[in-house]
Amino acid sequence: MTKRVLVPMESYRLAEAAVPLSCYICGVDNSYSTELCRHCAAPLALSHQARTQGVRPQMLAVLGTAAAGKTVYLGMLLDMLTRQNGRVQVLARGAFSITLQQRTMMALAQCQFPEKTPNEPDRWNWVHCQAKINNKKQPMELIMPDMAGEAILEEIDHPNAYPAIHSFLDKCSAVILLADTDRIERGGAEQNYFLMKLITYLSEQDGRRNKGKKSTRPVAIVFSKADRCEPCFDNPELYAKEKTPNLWQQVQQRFVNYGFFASGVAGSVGFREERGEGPMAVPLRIEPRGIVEPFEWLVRKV
Amino acid sequence: MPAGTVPVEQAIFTSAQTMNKDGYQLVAWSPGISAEDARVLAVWGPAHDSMIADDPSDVSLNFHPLRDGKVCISRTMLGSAEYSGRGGRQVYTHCFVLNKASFARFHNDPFRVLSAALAIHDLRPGPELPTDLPTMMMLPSGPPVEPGLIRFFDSPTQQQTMVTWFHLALTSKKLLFTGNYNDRYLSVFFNLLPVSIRPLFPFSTRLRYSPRREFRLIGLANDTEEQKKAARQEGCTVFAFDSPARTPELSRHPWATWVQVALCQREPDIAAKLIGELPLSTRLEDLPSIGNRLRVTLSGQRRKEADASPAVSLPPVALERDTDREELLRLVERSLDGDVSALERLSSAWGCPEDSRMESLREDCAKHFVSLSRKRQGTGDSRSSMALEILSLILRTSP
Repeated sequence: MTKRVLVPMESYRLAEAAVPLSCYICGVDNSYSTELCRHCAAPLALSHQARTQGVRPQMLAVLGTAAAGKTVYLGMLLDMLTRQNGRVQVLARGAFSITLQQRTMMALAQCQFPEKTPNEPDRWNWVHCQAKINNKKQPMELIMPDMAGEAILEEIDHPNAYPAIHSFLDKCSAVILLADTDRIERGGAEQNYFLMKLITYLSEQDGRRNKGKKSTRPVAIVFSKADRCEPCFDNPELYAKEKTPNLWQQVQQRFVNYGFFASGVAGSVGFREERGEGPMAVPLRIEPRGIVEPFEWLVRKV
Repeated sequence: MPAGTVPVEQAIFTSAQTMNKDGYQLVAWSPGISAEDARVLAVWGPAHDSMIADDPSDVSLNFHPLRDGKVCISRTMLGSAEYSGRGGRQVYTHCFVLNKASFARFHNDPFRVLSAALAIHDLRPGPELPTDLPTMMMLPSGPPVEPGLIRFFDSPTQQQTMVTWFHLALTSKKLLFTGNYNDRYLSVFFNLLPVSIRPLFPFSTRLRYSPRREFRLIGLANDTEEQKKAARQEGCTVFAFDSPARTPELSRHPWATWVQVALCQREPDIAAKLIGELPLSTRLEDLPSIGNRLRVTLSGQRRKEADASPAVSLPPVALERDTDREELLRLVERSLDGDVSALERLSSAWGCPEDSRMESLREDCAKHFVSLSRKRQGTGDSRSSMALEILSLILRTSP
């Protein structure tokens, strides 16, 4: 004998899953329940978050060479802004936005720098947060990824090698460029050339939209690890003019809104010899300086 | 160029501080690597924390197509300390790039390229990274299918694993394999595929899963987090080497069933010859019909041989003799233990015309099967799909 039962169809669930979800970064349609975009590998949680907020998040890029200090800078910035009730306050959106801050602070607490960011876009940490500035009525929604330096350089050299970076740089409203002061002080010209490439890439992206005029996208050039060179803190623009003259010149010629800053997280760095793993840099004390200023300046300009 | 040799280009991708840039990059490559190849290899290359195990002795083998019909076969392992002082070891990848014609000389088998490379060079990272590399000259050898590799898996469990593996590999878009596998399974897999089909199975082993790298077969070892992450992706099938599920014969890919027959052979030269003789125009969609055809051909050949020399070491079960009953009951028991060759022989046993004696044997086998199943239920041993298949064989019904 067959028992009669009533089964609710709940077809609305199927209808919801049938609607594709556009990736917030590259715009490609994905299945509703997918975790990462099938084209650029950005987390689709960003699209879900953006849908629920009602305000379109702005994008802020933190760029630099491999080992320039992007992860430490972003992690420390978020940790400071989520703690203090100062001029800028940040509220993380989504649990995934806390991972970068957690990873950085846990590593620093154990007298280590966080591990190198992997090159694969699906393993990058993305931050979606709400930034509130004292003088502004409306808070801003911001998206900031922590991308690998090698991947950024590969994309600059061969556009579209990394679709996530390509789309992100095209859409981002503001840029923080990190220049490794330690390597500049050691006489390497690599930072100078890398940042010049980036400046050219960004301004040409804007140039297509502005018909050749100077870019209005705000750019903060931040000399990271500036604790290794005190004069850099005193006058970052003068430091840029003297140590990276080509970069200084390019920024002047291509951008309207730009600023030079210096920052440092570790007050002092030592080296520990690990058996089989070579010398490992060890942050001896944590003394964040100049972390919030470039961010605050950018957010006010956007 | 020495006679018979094939040019193979090579490149090294690792983390270093060079004149061009810092971090992961192609540090050295041979003259035949084009700018486009170099770009693809640099984007593809496994970088920091890509190896699943943090063990300097662990090796990851990878095979994937490049552009213009070229293929890349690579070997990744951990090298010396990461140059930037952020801890961890550099991930060191030695790539071999072959064009279509050169790869065909190796019968499209990536493992033969790797063996040839290992025979010529020590592929481990040295204390100094090279700045340029020569084009390697390799000498391909051997037939398209090595009978020795077919002989390699002779235990019933290994054979069953291999058959299930084939079925899943041929029917899945992406196959993630986990557990305690070894690279020998992959090399036998390639060996038992028609030569023209082999390039369609790019694979990686012991590398963290990334949707950026397009592989069809992905080895994830025992890392649970990686397995979960990969399984969340669309279109992935998971195969656990430690507990392979048996596939019923009727729903199995016919090529996998043919592989089962080939693995059960004590003299695998015929099976190797049959696969090796398949034309280079064979397509993936042709495999089911070819698998069925080869199985019939081999069974026919075996029957002929049995008729010609009844005293061969492993005769098919002949129902006329008095000892048949015991033999059949033993086959039922061994089949329930998971012995694929016993199942195959049990299958061939019912080829005689139906008569009253055969009906009585069938009944005896069914009774024996039921009593064994009852006993095993008590011990908690459940091989339900296998049991169903044996019962369907005995009773001549479809599971």
